[in-house]
Amino acid sequence: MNVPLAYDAKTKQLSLPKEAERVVPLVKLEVDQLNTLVQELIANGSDVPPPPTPENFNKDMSKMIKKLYEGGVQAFKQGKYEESAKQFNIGVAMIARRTKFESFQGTLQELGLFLMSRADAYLKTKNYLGAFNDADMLIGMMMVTPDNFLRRGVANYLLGNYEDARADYQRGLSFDPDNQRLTTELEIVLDKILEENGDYL
Amino acid sequence: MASEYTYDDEGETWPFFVLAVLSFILIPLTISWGLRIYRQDNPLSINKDIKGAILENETTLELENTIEINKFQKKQKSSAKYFNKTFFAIVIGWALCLYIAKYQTVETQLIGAFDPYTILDISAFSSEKEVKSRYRKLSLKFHPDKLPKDLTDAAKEEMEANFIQINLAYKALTDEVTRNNFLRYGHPDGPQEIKHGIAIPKIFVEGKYSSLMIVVYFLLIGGVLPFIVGSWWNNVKTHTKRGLHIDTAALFARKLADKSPTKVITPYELLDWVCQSQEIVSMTSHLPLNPQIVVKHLISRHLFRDFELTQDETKYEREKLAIVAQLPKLIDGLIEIASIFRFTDVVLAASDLRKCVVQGVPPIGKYQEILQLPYVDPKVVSQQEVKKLGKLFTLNKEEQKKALGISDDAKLETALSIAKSIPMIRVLDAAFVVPGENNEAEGGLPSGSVPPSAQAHISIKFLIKSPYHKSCPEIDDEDLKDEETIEYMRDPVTTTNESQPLLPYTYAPYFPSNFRNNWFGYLISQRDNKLVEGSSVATLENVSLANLALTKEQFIKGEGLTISTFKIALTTPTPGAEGNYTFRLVLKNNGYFGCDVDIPITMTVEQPKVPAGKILTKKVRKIMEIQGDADEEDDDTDYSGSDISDPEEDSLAGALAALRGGSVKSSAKGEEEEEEDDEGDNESIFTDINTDTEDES
Repeated sequence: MNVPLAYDAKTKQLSLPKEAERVVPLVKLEVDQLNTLVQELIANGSDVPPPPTPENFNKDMSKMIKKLYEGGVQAFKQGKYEESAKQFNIGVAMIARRTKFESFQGTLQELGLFLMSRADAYLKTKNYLGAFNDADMLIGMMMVTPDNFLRRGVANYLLGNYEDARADYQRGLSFDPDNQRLTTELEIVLDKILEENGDYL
Repeated sequence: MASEYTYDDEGETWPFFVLAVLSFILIPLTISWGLRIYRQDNPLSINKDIKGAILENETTLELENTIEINKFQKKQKSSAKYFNKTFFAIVIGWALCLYIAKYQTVETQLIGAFDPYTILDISAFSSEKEVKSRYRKLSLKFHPDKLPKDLTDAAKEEMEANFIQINLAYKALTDEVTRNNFLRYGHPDGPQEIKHGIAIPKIFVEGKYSSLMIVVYFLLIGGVLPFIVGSWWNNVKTHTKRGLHIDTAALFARKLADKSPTKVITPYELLDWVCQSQEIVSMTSHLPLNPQIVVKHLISRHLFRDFELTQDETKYEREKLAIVAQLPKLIDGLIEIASIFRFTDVVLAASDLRKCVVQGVPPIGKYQEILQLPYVDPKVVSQQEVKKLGKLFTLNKEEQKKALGISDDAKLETALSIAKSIPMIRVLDAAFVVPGENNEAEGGLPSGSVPPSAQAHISIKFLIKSPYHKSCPEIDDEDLKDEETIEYMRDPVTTTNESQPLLPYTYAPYFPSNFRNNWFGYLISQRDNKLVEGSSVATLENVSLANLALTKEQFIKGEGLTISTFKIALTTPTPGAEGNYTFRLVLKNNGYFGCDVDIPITMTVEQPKVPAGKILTKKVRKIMEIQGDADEEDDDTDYSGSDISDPEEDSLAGALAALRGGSVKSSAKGEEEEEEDDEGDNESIFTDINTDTEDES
């Protein structure tokens, strides 16, 4: 299939026809990514962006993000889970707005923190799919802590995917065999699987 | 023109030449034809001989699709099975062979073949004395002077010839010169004249037909030969070893290489990939409009068992079956490529998709186990609670009817009997084993432990059970041990796996072709959730299904119970360093839902307590120390670099405190692992050292 791409010399942006965006979402994504990179490259001012180091990491942004994070935790503590999830959401969006040439190490750390907290908030607000996505993202980013498996496992359990939940708990336990929380959750889900099978031991 | 060659004008040799060439072609052709008939034999009749097999198919169940499937299979079979081109070629070829052998061959005298022992009719090991006495006896019988007078001339001549032969043979065995001649040239008279001949009559070479012969040769060498070699090579070039089109393999490889690690792979996405394959595209290029959309529509009709046809769709019913029949092969190809990439998620999703295609069940929702049964009403099933076959058997008849949406008693009976015969696995024990090492009484390792750098395999002990069976019988530990015979010690994996009967053909009435049931075993490393190299080859094909016939009570009591064993060979040796290595073992059935196995399995590497291993232990310890130090350093530096303060909160803190330390740690780990990925993660300690030293510098 051929799709005409338009280039605007003034803004230096590529664009897709409206109807094509719907048919080929992957191309749309790639065009958007390209546009973002070009935009940030221009905004950067110099020919080549500076090498990403912890020193030139945008500290102002870090402060704002930290504030959002603390706000989210505060709301969570007070039991305002909806509010807390919203705060974390804004934080994630803000992290996404960091320039792409910055040290990704730092961005990843911040993002990990937010995703973990947001997954917890989602679990509390019964947005299990959102919690699953966040936990899955964390594990996909190789943040393989027992807690992340607990998050994805609980999300899976609440979504009714008992077999997946069991696999998650078991993988979590392989990193920390003595984790009490995982062990109890695993037992719960194993019982649930037996019950669903109409079986008993 | 005087010829140096003798031609075969009498037809002495050319028939033999033709016979040789013909048999060269005919014998392999006949064998392959025979094998095809043998293999395509009716699966139901084969299943009848296998205990616990399901003896139903679309015809016996009288399903909606019976006519179309039978038509499809008939087309595949009868035309392609017995009376195809190969068949006619074989018949004509053998007829030609018979004709030539019977009428065209002239019996030639094998003058050259001279064997004194045969002529004298004695054993090759006879002593000289025996030779002499035998010769004397024969010469008395054949001597021209001693012949009876009333013989005809012809008979006389024959007798005389015999006498000469006997004389020669005798000489060959006794006289020095003749004996030497016999030994060196194979004939007592010395070297025989060597003739060069051409195995065709003269007219073809020097007569008026010589031009014809040239044309034949030209066609053969210039036309037929290049064509055969060319088409063979073309096939080699366009298809992989497993019969996957090269473009399809490239497409799958590209899709997998481009796969985003943050995206969840769904069966539908994989189906999309498969539909873009060269096989499907070339099969469906004649379809109107957008073939891709038509193909997806047809497949979806198959997956949802939709047989309410519009006029247009009837036309494509055969195409649907042809496409569906192709899918498992393509999915298997995808699984194979994905297992080279070691993508667990793709392999598992593809296995599920394969089952969906085979059973005609949608890949979404949680009701596949129930939906794979015949006669069920999908609308009713998805509205109720029962999702598993096991649960179904805890209900009474009325509830079962309600759950399945079946109102007819006989139909319910059939559906339940099929459900009962779906073989489930209950794992009793699964461990890494090195034969001969786990004898604790004699100073060996405790069971479940393996020595470092050894050739281990996974041994799974399990019961085949029906969903109808509940709980698990008491099994004596002794029953779970393998008898360590000599054959077992030599090759534990094949010896054990092949000691059981082959699994029957899969019950799959909605799927147009037949295949045997089996389980594929995958070993996944828990550390990075990737397939361990070389584990995808494990196939469980031989299992006794005798347990399915047991009643509930017999099963719980363990009466007449068969314990099965499956062994998976590991291609890489166990890690060199002591410690625990965690894996996840998944067995995926290729046809039925609900009989997969997914268990964690730990490999404990331990040094056996024998003096010979001591030196190695030290070395390993030292390596482990270096490794440990490096890890700690890594953590420290990263920790101080993070500038986010500790949260004070309690409920969240439980998670957050851990995640802070954890996230820092794991991001460092993540990097390490990415670097190691290429080298395979079977925990080679040496790769660990390399990465660590790099970090330190």
